[in-house]
Amino acid sequence: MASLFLAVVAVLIQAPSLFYMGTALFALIGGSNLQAWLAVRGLRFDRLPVGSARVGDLVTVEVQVWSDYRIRRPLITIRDVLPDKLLYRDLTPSLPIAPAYDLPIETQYQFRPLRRGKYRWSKLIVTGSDSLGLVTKQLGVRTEPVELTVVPRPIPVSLDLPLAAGWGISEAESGQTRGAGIEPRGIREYNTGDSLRHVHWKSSARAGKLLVKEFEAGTHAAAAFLIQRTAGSDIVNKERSSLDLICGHLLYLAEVFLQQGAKVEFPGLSAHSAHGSVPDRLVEIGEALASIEDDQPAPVSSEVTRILPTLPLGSVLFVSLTVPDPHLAEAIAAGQTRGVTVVPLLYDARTIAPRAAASATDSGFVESLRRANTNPVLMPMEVASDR
Amino acid sequence: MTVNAPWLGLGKSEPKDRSRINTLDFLLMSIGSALAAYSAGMAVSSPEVGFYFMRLIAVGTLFSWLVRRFLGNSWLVRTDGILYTALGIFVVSQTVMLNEILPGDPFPRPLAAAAYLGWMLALGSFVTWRDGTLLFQAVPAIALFGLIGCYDTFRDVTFAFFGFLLCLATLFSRANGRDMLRWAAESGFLLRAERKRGEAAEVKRDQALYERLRTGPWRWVAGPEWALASAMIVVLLSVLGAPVVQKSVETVAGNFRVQVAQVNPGRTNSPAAFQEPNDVRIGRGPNTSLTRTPVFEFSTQGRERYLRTGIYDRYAGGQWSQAPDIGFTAGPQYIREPLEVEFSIRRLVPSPNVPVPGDIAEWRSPGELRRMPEGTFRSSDPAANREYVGVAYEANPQFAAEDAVELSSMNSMRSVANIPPEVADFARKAVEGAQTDREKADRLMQAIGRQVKYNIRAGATPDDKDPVSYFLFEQKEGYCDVFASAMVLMARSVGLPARYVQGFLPDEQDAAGRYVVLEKDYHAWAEILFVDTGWTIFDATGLAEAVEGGERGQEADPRPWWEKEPYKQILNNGIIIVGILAAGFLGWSQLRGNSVGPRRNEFDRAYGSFVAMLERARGKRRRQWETPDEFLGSAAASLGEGKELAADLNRRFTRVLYSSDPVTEETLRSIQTDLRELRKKIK
Repeated sequence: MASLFLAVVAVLIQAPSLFYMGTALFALIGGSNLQAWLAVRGLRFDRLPVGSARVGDLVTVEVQVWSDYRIRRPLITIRDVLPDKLLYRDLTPSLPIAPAYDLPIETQYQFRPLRRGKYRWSKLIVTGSDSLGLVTKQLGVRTEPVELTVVPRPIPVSLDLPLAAGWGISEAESGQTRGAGIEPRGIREYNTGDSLRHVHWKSSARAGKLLVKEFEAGTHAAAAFLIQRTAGSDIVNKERSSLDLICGHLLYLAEVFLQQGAKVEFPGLSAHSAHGSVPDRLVEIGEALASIEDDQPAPVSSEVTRILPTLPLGSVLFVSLTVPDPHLAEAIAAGQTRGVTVVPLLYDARTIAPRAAASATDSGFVESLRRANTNPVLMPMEVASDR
Repeated sequence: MTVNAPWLGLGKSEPKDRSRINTLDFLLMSIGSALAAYSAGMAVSSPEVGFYFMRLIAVGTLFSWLVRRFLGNSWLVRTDGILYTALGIFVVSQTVMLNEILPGDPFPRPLAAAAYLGWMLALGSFVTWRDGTLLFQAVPAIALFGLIGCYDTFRDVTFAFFGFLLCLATLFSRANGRDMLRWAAESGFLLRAERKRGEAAEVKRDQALYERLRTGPWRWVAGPEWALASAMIVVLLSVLGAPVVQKSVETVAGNFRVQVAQVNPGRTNSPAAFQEPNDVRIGRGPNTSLTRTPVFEFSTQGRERYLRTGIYDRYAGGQWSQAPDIGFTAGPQYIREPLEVEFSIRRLVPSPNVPVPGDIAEWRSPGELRRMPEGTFRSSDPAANREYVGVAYEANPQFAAEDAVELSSMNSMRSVANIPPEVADFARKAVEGAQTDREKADRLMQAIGRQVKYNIRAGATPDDKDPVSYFLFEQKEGYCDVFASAMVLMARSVGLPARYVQGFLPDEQDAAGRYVVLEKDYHAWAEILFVDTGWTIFDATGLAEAVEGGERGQEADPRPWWEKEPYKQILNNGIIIVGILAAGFLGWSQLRGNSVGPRRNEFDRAYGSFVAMLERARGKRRRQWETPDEFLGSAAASLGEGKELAADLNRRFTRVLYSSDPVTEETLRSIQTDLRELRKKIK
């Protein structure tokens, strides 16, 4: 603007010094534009794999940049056009780099994904400026696609386990008192919420701090998790999603059960790899949970009907729901005759979306489940902010 | 030459904190601002104004530097934008008062904006604590340069602007670098790099980050050295291109050329160099350069030597100005049987004025002259050595001035407004008993001659006093402007239509009979409108006794030495050259500071040779996507005996290229030796 103003005034009043100054400013701005334009041309981008991350983890995206021209460039930055569905925070600018001829120069940026899912993107916007930083130019570039799997973050939850074969005595619990199976496995440091009955007093006296006994779950213990994925069952409001909450809870429970030696199944989601270690199994489960959506035509009751016969005797089937399924009680009643305990995990849809038409925590639905001889668990809807 | 001044942010030193503005940035902006402020002062021929601003900017910059150094990035430092805005509002509201504070003459009305911008630069330098405010100083500076350029009263402003541009380019580039450094820190680059290298997190982040970037992803950057080089090219282009641009738009621009209100470039300039202003203040002491410098040549066939450049009719507060109806009495209509005499006037110095010996009948030279309402002339081409030939009306000696023309009492030439009562009383007493208007005028002139003495070095009138009254009754000495003003006011007091005129009264003639008009011939006189003779000159200075050493015609140059030629020119150019050199030096130091070093450059060249050697051997250029190893692999079959050596060299190149390790002298020499060896083997 200044250069244009000077040029116009110079022409109007024909003052020689204004011509010099106007020309200088024009040349400066013109040169800057040219340099910025050149800065974003003749570049190639190779993406490095991103892999997977948990919700809230810092993800680093790395891109290698090559220059096709043997020229020195001002610094450039990149900005990925991330999928709309990918919610994130703490997005950093990319590392400014000066692309070089013949050599890849790596840039990176970071962000924290807020929702689980599998995301894929390929477009990025490269921004270059002149060496003075006066002018910036942008160019959209399409690259090889990159994929990011955001697995749910385990959300701790305290849950009363039912009496069942393999789960031992009634104090078998999960949550903060996890590890309370029937066969002692070892001792660990006391955590808030641990039952005082499990304190190993001798060891505590020796160590000078409270230690508790940890128990192994029974060797026949098996848990299966079924998630309601009927279309419209994921209640979403802004960043909150009932399916995300369910996945976080179930991943936590799965981790607890696996560490106790129980078998954990997610029927219809991930096959159980018999020889995998606990961390490997958790990765499998996490990735499976990352991709689920409420896209199934069939109601969860039909899934229960289909799965119950396949579960071993004494298993516990956790069925998580956000919206009521009128046939579920019936399906459960039929399955219990086969010695499988069904525990409905009920989520209140109205906590997320107050105008939701129906919720799994509606008293009529809960009552129908109780009548089917189950002990429905009303799941906590709040997530402790520990990120 | 090795520069080693860590305190300046120059040369070899411990790793610097490059995330914040430092001494170099303050220096660059203070030089840039000082060049703008100095140019503003010089535009009104008042170097003391320029120096005053420069001193303020120096103090302000020092203050800002101290604030930044001792307060770091505290909340107080972050209020700089608010403070800068507040200062801007304060300066806008108090521009008039601030203008009066300036030493010497304040900025004239057309350049009042320059006062605002100058003060903005000066006061703003006290709160330039961060990049935003530091760079914002460029705005008033550019505006100030533009304003000075519009009035075109300081030709060297172009060079000052170029110096400013170099400072600005380096400063912007450094600020951009700081932004980039901040982004690099935010991108998590350093933390990851540290994790990879297993380094302690306590490392000084900014320093470590910069060093890592400089030897890594920023190695090939077109950085501040490019900015400085670009600015220099821009300057060169402007020097060469601006005249061409001006010439090429001349034909278009000529149709709608805009006249800018002329600015009196100062009280100490040559009286020939500036256009007569619309307002003239009198009684301001010795304030005009009255040297023996020839400014015009004048020859005439007539008798008139009084050459007019400015005519004024309205008096108020010690100042003459032109009423809207001043043109009413212009022209030869009051002269009976006027004589038409040919005259010529040639300018010896650049000047917009064309002094004329009376009302003009016609011009016989090319008609680029513009007639002003009151009858004077201006030239649109102020170049020296232009000669104008014209015909002027002169009073016919057959007729004597006796009776003044009866003008309407509303006419500004008869206005008695603002005439001090004591002056009017003095006039009435002086004309008691006079029979004719001519006699009245003569008696007034004599009364003035008796009352006061002529002194070209008389002091200025105090601001709270009327200059004419002070001249007649208190100081009792003065020079032409107060003599003429007294004569006009007294004439009007007794009913005679009179006007105040400025111009030249040459005395000296050359061998060819031409008058040589010198600077010291600058003069003012009164003119009274008489029947038959028209506007008749009454110059009371001729009747007054002169103070010894203060006679009319004495050289009087009140300027201090630094405002006189050639010192003024030397000083002007010196300051600008020093500014440009300082900017260049700082930029050069910056360039050295950012260079990856000669060894690295040599290393890059060596790698280039290596690649070229393999390309020749393979007979194909290296593909973009080929890594060094792939490239070597595809060329290996063609390398013959040199295969192993090439592999070794490739390994050593790769190690340096893909790491931030410095290139040692030893590594470089061994690589160069092996390259020569490889060349022989491949042949």
